[in-house]
Amino acid sequence: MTERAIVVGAGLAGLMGALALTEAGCRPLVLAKGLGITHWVGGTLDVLGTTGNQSLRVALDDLIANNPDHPYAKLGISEIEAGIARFRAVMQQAHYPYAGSLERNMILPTALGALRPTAYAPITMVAGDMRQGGELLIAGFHELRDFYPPLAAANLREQGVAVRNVYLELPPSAKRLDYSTRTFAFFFDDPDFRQAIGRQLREVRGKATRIGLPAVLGLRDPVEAVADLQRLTGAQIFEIPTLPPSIPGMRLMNIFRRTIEAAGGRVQIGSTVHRAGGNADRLTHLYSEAAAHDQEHRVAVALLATGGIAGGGIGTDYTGRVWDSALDLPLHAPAGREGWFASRFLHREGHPIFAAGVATDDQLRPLDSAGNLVYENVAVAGMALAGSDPVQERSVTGLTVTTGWHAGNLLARAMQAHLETSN
Amino acid sequence: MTYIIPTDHIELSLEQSLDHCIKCNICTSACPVSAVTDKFPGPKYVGPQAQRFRQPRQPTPDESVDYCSGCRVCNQVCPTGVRIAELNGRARAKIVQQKGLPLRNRILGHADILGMLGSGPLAPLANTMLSLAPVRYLTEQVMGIARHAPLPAFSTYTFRSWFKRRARKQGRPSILSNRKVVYFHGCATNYYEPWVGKAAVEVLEHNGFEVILAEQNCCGLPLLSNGAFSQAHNYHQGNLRKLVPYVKQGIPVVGTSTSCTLTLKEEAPELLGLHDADVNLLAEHTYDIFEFLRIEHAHGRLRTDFKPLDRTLPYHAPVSCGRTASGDLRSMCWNWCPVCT
Repeated sequence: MTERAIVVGAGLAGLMGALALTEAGCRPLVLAKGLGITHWVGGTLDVLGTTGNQSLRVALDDLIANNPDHPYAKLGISEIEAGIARFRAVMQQAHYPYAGSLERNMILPTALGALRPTAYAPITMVAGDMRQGGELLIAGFHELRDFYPPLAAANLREQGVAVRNVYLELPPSAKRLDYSTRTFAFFFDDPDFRQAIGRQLREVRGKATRIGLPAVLGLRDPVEAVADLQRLTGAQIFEIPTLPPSIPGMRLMNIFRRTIEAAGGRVQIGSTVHRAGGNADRLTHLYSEAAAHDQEHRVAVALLATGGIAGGGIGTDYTGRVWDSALDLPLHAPAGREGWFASRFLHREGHPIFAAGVATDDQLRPLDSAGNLVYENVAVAGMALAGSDPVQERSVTGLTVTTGWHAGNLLARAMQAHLETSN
Repeated sequence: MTYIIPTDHIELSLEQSLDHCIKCNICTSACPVSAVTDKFPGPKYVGPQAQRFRQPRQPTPDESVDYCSGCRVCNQVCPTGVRIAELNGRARAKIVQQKGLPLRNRILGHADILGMLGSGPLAPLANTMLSLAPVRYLTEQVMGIARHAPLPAFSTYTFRSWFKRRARKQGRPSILSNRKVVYFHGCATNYYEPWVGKAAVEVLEHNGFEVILAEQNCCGLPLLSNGAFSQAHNYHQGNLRKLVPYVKQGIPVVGTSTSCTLTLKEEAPELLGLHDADVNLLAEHTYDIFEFLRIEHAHGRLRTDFKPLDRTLPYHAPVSCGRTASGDLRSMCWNWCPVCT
């Protein structure tokens, strides 16, 4: 059986890692339990949640200098930039460009009207940057649950933003028994629907120079949809991320999958990796679950990108046990349940358990509790890494994209070296 | 006829899997049925959500679960491992227990009987009849089968008759080998598309396998997906009786219909709650043909003397493929098959 580059996990870390392996000619196989983080996140690239006047690059330098165990410190600023650049290039190529910089975070509104710092956002969202002035209009649909323009507007007003809100009418042809974000994305793929909505928006626009809509403006060509609506309304249009399933996240998944598979990789969803086999220092086999018998995979190199506790990569139970659900690697976690949580539910410092993960060396290879290398042909990326609490830092997507890219490149080199020695 | 679904570890794990649902609706966004009809509100609603209201001795809360096609895409994409398709399958069986099986499902559930009646020398007549507008209008009125829905065409000969005729002509099996497989053709290959079976036999024999045409019956999936559990149970018992003796001699069962092999491996045991030694034995030794060939290749035994085929072919991955054979055809032969890239 052919030894293969296996990526475990199809979140942003796994997909970026698979992209790096694909581009190096390694034809990776991505195995994932299900669709995940792409359908949960808003689709922005949050590198670090700093606000105010501090440059993001300076903040990253500080973080790296003061936290040598932080995954960002293992990458260094130039690798972080390389990962972001590659991510943006892929999106650009798919006609879904991202704007932003490592100078200052944009401040984008959430569906609740909170303000969220992010370094890079799809071009369909950037007009929502609150650092710009002018009156805002937030528009939505009664039929789309969990997106309430009055709530978003009220919270924004409290923070000093001049904003109105409006509910739009669906044209009769768009009546359904039930609606989801996907239903709306299908609607917005249709130019006639955009016409109908654009005309309504022009009538209610008033003095607003920017109009925020739920991030459902199509799956096929959202950039064109935004341009259409801007032409029709004369205002700038921006998307506000919704609750899952996230349409911007689905766009990411579609683009990654297309790019990876077109270049010879494979993404196999519904294949939970639950068992591993190896010898002293190499992982040799992985087993993914299927009906009646497991699928066996021979491993040349493997990327563990299964996510943290929320993503299902790290399992926990009431006895205080914490484990890696795919490769059973040793985890770095607070000992015992009493060490997991801060005293309050919404504690400013976050809960210690959410920093749990696999400790690694400088090349993101897994280490045991004594600091010894577990497997030389495995790298870890994303939320499965120890050394940071990305939710707290507001760095989830930035950290997963950049560590995924870096780990994928390291593994590609390891695979080429391995194949040369074994031939 | 009531089939009592046992209160087994599967029922327990289904109940527990409800708590893993975080209501993210990824399943709904991937569901092919809710994409095209309003009548199916999506796997999350009819599965983990409605399940909370399904209590013993109480009427079923939501009949829209009957629109679930059982394709299992929801299971495949669920990030937290909720067993939505199994929840739906068992929920539908409870509706059938309470209200009975409609005529249409009674007929469409019996792919084997339909095939037996329609295939053979009279197939052209049956096919012509079923293409006539008045006939389709009547079947729509009486049975509720949409008149514009395309129906598969019956074959003028069955796969089994071809196989037996060939053996008679040759006077012996084309290959005598101690590497034997039982071929599970299923109803579609036997009555509608015998050329699929002929190709499978050719490929297996080319790789040195003696193909055995064992007695078998319908895997029971059409009945399972219509909630007719007791009849599906009879079918599975029939296949156990007919196939387990081969498995006990070390002969694997290989099928070309992914939904048949998935039924033998997992659907029938899990939905019906069957866990005895024979059930497990058949499950463990049943393979989809591409899974089987992939394993042959892994052991360096597959003949890879492929000829290039300068054609672009459309490919639609069967819905059960991901579960029964891990991935679709492309990922199965990807990396070693030069024909499909």
